[in-house]
Amino acid sequence: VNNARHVLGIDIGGTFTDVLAVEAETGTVSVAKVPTVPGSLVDGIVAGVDELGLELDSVTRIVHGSTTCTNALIEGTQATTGFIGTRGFSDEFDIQRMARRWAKTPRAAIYDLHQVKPPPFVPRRLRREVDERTLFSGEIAEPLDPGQVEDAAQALIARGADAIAVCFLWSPVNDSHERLAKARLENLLPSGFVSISAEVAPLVREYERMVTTAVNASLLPVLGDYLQSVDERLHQHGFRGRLLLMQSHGGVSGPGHLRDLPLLTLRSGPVGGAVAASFLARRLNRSRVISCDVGGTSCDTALVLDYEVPITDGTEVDHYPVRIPTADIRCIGAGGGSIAAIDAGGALRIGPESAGSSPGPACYGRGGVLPTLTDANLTLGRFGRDTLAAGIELSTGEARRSLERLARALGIAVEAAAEGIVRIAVANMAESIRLQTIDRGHDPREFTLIAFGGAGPLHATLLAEACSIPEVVIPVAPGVFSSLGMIVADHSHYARSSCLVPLDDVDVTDLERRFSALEREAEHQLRHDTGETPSRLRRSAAMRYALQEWELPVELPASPLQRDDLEEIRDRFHKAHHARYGFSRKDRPVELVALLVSAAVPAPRVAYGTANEHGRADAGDVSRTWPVVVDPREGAVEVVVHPRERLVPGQELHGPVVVTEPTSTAYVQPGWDVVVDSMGNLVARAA
Amino acid sequence: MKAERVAVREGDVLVIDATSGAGFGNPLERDPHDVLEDVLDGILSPERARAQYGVVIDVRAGALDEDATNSLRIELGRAFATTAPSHTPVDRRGYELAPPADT
Repeated sequence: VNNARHVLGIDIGGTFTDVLAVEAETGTVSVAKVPTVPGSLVDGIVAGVDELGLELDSVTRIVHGSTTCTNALIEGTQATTGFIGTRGFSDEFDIQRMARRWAKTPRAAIYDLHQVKPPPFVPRRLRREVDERTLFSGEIAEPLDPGQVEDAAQALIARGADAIAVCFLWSPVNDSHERLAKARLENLLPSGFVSISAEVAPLVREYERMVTTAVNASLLPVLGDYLQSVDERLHQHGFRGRLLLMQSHGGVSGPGHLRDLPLLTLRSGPVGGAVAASFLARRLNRSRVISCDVGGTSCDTALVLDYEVPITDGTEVDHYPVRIPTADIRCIGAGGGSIAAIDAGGALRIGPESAGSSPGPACYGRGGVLPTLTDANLTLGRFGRDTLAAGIELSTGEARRSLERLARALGIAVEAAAEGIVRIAVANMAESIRLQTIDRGHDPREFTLIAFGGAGPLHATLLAEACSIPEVVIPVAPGVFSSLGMIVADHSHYARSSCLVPLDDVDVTDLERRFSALEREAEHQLRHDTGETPSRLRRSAAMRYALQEWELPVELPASPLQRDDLEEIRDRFHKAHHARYGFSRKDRPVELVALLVSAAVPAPRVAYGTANEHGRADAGDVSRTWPVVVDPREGAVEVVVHPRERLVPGQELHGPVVVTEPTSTAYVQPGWDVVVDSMGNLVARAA
Repeated sequence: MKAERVAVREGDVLVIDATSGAGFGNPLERDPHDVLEDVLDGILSPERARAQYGVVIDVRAGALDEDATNSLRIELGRAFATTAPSHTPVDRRGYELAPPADT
């Protein structure tokens, strides 16, 4: 038993729970991949710790990304939630937005005459309206009668509501009515599960604000129960350290704050990988990076600019808008389990349907018969057939059989069909990267691709070539790289407020006062959580030209604002607009829409990558060859295969080459040269 | 409404009354459970449900009274047949065709 102090990063996926342990003193890394136990995620954590031979009483910190809240929304197990809103406005839950977008693919949606909007997040029978009106100026036009709120709540409770959300018009400008309602409701509702929009998303656009508030209310008991059970179980096993959770924006938080704002965990799954990529980007001194995480069902890509993942102000969960600070990550249905099929027009398509882990790809031999991306790679010889984790035996025979039907229908050889599947999957991933780079004014030729996840390294050089990205980095243990993000993430909180003011009318003193208030709020949360004063405070504003509908985030100076800073702020907006849209209008008036502040304490330093156990050079060359289809026109050729743990820093490899390791396989195509760096990363460049 | 460019001055009140969407088919053939859902959601009153859809709802329990609904629907169906003798069943198929497969 290893009694040294450890920190754990845990990524709980739908199929596997990845546990990455770093020994605090030496930086030694060990990893375990164990099956996720649905309904009892903590069992997966305990099993992973056991497998690593660790005792929980020597663990000082556990950081994990929890899918509890996301799963609850997808499975519909969130609390029955009632809604109280301004008279005349609660049917926005049904009306939603006008844009036609509810089809399988957004592109098909505008032509779909039969589109059906998702059901309202809160059904009409669980919504009540009260007389009250706050104007856009913040002036109260009609005072709220708290008695009406109580009557509405009683009616909702009688209809089975366990939680209640309150959202009134213009509360972002004046939240007094919502606060009054909350005070009354907390006495009335036995559970105390009450959310008001002023505390969840104090932003303009009331439909999104209503839904966000209701989503939060519905998750209050979900995350509360989860945290309690995790806490108890870990304590039973001797854990006395700190339990932290990943948030959607890529910063971690203690449980206290999240008990009131469970929705902040909604996108905590994919963000770990992007944070890990930003950590590695700094180590490697690469200021422009594309993080690419390809797992079993999805390909999640994110830009990392100046060692940070950009934040957006919202996301969607199961079609419902959730306006919380969220790392800007694009997910498409392209992963190892993505299913290949021929569409109505006779063309080959890959995904978004996935075989998942059950039955899984045909080659798993668990009853899957549909060909997947993994089956295609295995048939081409690019996938390390004896290296998959969790004791799955891969069957090349089953993979081939699954492809035969498809190849026959297309009238081509099995190898050609397999290569076609890979090419189309890579094209889909490349399109996703282009939408994040070229579409937003970034030149992919200036970027480095960091590729990970079980299936990322298989496609990395193909994808880089498709996007004209000149350099690829494949980290050590790519299959569990996301959990490294949990360990290295900052501890951070955001505070936001609405601020609809033309920049010409801004009073600098007033703006400074608003920013300081937000800073105090974020600092307070952080100190409450960590006992520390933030070492980094950041300010930004959402801005737009007058009469524009959508705003852009603009980073602002962090120091107290002076009179001249308004011109600097205006200038930064013009620049941001130019970078995003290719033009700016310096003659046009600019306005503020919302203010955002973040406060952060960096994660305790982790010696990751310094204790490199790779490259036992004395063991000699253990590479071998096996047949790989590089180009289907030429058939299979013998390609060198290296076990990753035997590679030495400085060693050079030349594509085509295959590198196998327990959580992933890397395939490097011809025309790419690889150097193993001092951390053990594979750094590939187009020759 | 057929009006374009109506000048609205300060103090004017513009009122637009819209009907709900048109119905389709015989209300007596609408699934009573769907009618119940509409009543629970407050977009149809229990009185209308009874008079026009022949659906009897126990308002206090928020539940369907199936026996009463069945006999009321038979009764209303007879009355309907005498007042609208030329009624022919509406062919809903064209409207309810499944959306084309996504391509």
